[in-house]
Amino acid sequence: VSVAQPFRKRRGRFVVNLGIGERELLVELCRQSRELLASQDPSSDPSVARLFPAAYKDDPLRSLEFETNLGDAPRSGKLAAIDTVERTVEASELSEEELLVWMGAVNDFRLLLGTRIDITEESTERDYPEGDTNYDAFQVYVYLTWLEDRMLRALGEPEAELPKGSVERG
Amino acid sequence: MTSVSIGTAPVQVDRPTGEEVHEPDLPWIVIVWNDPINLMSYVTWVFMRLFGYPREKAERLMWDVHTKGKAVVSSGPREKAESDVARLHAHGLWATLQKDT
Repeated sequence: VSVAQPFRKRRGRFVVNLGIGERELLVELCRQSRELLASQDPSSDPSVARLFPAAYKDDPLRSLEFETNLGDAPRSGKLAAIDTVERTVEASELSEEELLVWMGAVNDFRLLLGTRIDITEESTERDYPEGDTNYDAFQVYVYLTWLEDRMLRALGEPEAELPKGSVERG
Repeated sequence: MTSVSIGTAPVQVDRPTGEEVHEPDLPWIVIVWNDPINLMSYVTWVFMRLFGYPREKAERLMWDVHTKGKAVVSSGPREKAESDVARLHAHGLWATLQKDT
């Protein structure tokens, strides 16, 4: 893990200070996540299902209708984000738009991994000791948590991205 | 984000016709549920980003999610609520919509 800040804003862009090992890890997570998203029906894998929750609690018919209306957009959006991370993974600088895509992908990696190893509110490193089958996965999870936190700090206050034609009251 | 359009689904679901007579009167609410993985700072950031809420309001909602297990984060016509849920899902949050009661 780099000691320096992994993402630093400079003239509207973000300088990326990640080591080779960190970038290789991201490539590997992209590969595994794409494989999961491409092959798994959400209903057959709880970690994939976590990325596509039901829109209506206790109403499977309306939830199905919602999913049918959206079509492949949710899945293809996540696959496109993975593509972007892979394409820019060696970059020394990212645009804000690219860093936002990276953060979304890293959050998806945490959701997939965290669900897989049954993360709870109370989970600590003591639940995943050395020798545990999920030890490595938990170490990666902790790293991704740190990385996402650093992304949020680098990005600062978000600009609102309201849907077209909407009026929101703060 | 693809906009959500109701009623064009190939799967047609039969509903009791009386069920939605009063729909225009009752807004739909969007609920975000607590989950053990999403970071509190990230959830706050998503509320600011997607709804344009000031930090104070976004943090209050995030704390409600964290301590009470859920929070109503937006409301409106069903189509708008579905769109908000889809945007929250795209950002990894666990969100549902339901008619306000």
